[in-house]
Amino acid sequence: MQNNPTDSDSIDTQDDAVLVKRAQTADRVAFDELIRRYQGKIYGLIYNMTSNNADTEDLVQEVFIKAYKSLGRFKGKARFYTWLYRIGVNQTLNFLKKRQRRSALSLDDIDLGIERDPAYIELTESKPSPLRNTSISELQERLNKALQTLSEKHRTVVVLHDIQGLPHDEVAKMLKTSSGTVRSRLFYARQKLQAELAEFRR
Amino acid sequence: MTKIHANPIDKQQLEIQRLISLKKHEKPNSLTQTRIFNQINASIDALEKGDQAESIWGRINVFAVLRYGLATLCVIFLVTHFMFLSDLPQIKPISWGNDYPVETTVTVQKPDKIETPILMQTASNKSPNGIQYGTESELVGFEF
Repeated sequence: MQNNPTDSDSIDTQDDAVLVKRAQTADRVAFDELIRRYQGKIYGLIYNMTSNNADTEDLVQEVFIKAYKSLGRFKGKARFYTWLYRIGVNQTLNFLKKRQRRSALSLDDIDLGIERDPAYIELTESKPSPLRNTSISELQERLNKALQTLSEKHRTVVVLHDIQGLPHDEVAKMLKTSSGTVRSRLFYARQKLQAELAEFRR
Repeated sequence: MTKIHANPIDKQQLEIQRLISLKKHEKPNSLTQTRIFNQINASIDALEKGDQAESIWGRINVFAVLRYGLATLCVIFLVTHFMFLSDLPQIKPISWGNDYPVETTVTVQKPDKIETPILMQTASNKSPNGIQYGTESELVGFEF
């Protein structure tokens, strides 16, 4: 698979553990390093759930501030990024409950690595591919819109598993549900996405 | 050997999964990342400064104390009033001094001399008791 979490994530858990221990003793340099390490991932997670840059920026801040405040209670039973993701998911879901959906789709930077992504190559290499004729920014916009049509529960599992690349078990732990429920939600979410993105299918 | 064919439904699911996974290439630009990083640090700084400045008295939430204090007093009052006082015989209201209406004796002194209005004193003729009254002609123009 193109998006295996253990392959794509270069997270050195040992280093994380050391940094967390240091941060727990009020070492700000260590916590800064943790922010740098996970800021982008947390941003991606929240952005794909809210589809709004301004909201995402606010929520990313809230997540790290909450993590800093609660760092003393982190016992190291789970991995730091799992714990951080859980804060991010909970904060975002709470936010989405309060907020009426705003369709302010503001596009941010696209990593040009997309063109070297095996999934992108495979999806565009076939003869007359509809994806090939679509610009990357247009594709991004369509994917965003399609994602926003999903319910919050379905969107969350798609973002965590298909985009962030977390394994089913990890997603299940974060959402305090079973692995089977996660798989089932993924199945129905993808079915819905199939209908939304029908034109890109070969 | 049996060759296993991928289920077409699974194939579609995989295709969608791959397509949606392309979203992982959406990233905040470096400027946004720096801004967020600085904002987080500023918030944490403010948080730490606030913690240091906060004394033990500062940790007590005055409004919470007042709120719960008032609520407790209200509960005590209501319990006393409805459960305790309602069983007692009717109690007369407390009297704060004389009840209304107040009876008072007013002594009015008779004046020694009744003063006559000045206008009347300008008259030319006098009455037998020495008080002067105006003539008819002088009183013309006055309305009685």
